[in-house]
Amino acid sequence: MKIKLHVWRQKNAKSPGKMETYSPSDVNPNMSFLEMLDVLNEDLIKKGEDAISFDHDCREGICGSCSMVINGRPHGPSKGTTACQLHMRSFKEGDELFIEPWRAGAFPVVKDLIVDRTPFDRIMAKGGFVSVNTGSAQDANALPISKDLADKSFEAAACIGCGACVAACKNSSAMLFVSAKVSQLALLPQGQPERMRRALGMLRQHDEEGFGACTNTKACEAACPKEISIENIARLNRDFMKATLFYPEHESSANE
Amino acid sequence: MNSWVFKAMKSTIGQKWLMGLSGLFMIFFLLGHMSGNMLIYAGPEAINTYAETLRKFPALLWAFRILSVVALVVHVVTAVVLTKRNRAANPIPYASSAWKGSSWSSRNMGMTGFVILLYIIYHLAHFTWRLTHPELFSELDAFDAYQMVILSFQEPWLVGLYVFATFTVCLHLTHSISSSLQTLGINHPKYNEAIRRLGDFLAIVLFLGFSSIPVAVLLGILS
Ligand code: SF4
Ligand code: FES
Repeated sequence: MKIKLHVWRQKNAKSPGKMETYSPSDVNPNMSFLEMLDVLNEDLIKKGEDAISFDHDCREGICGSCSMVINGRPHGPSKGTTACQLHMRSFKEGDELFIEPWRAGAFPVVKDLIVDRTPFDRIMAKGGFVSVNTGSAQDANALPISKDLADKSFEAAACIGCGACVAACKNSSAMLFVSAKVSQLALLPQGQPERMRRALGMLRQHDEEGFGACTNTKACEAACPKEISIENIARLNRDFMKATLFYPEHESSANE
Repeated sequence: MNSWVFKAMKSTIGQKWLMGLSGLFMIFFLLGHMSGNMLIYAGPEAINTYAETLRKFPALLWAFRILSVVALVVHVVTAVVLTKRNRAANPIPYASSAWKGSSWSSRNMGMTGFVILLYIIYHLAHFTWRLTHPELFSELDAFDAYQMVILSFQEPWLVGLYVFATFTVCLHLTHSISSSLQTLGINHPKYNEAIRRLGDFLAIVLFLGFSSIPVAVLLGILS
């Protein structure tokens, strides 16, 4: 099949960048979206041009590396699918596709379609973990938990940290990501001791990184390849306010 | 100021709580306002007695007015702060953007909110401060709310303006109700559908209730 691509090209963080047009000729409908870009890149390299840089790693929808907005939709048109799991058969002969990097002030472009997502790492460092002693694993049934809660936690834990929620949001808010990371632990007994501190720390870091405020448009939920629900954002809203009003913060931070 | 209060009010969630709480207060205000207005269909007697009764309790009336103004100011100031922050967070637009999954009203709350603010100012200038139509009110007894309404809405353009403004309120509200509850942490698959329907229902009821009066006057149903 024949398609037309408009791809964002930008040499480095400082240069301005612009959309460039490409017309790859023999696109196989069974190719994945990234394979299509691979083939195009080989062509470009043969012609002595600079290949299109994009992030990718697992190519099976679990690492969250592949980040590109295809026709205005993070990860492209298929519901609950990462860009690497998207196939060219989702498009038609003669389609015109716009491929752009995540757009958010907190995610500056590094090169072409690659953006810097280290703000997510700094948010995780502020509480996206549980502090447990290492050593031999605990007995499996020592901490009872209902199946329903375990399932809910597992759904939140499916977040792969790709940042599509930020890319989809008109406010570049990362609330869906933060709420998934807060919820996966807030729903489990192991997450309770640090629950309040986690909500405060991660949200404050989110704000500090320059992400926007959530206006509940739900664009994130529609774009998320793991279909994380905004129910998690409501939980984060509750936990953050509870922590603000009732958590004896100064004492614990003095102990740190 | 206590540092934790300050920190909370600086956070995105804290500011969203301010938006949600002040907004919910104004929704209750609108429901009260509309119920009062509906008395106009019961005749001049009913609505004028209502207007006079309100004025017999100045302390209550003023407490309520001050609360409403505070809610409005908090809502508007927070909206400006949040909008600025959100624009700064998203400086580069997409060449093609789809915004899938989000409703038009959810993406344009700032715009509809701004139109509503202008309308509130005009509405106050019209009926409360009596600046826009002084000639209509000069021969009237100050408390004749009924005649005030009847005389005002003889002009089709003004009726159009009021209908347009209340429709804008309706658009704003279709997102407001579920959004404010979500912000306050109220979201559960058990009742989300009910909240969404209630939000749309209230928005439509408020629109029909408010806009029916100028239209009824223009059509001569109320005279
Ligand atoms: S919430 Fe969804 S869209 Fe956001 S980072 Fe996690 S997986 Fe990606
Ligand atoms: S490359 Fe790992 S999720 Fe797409």
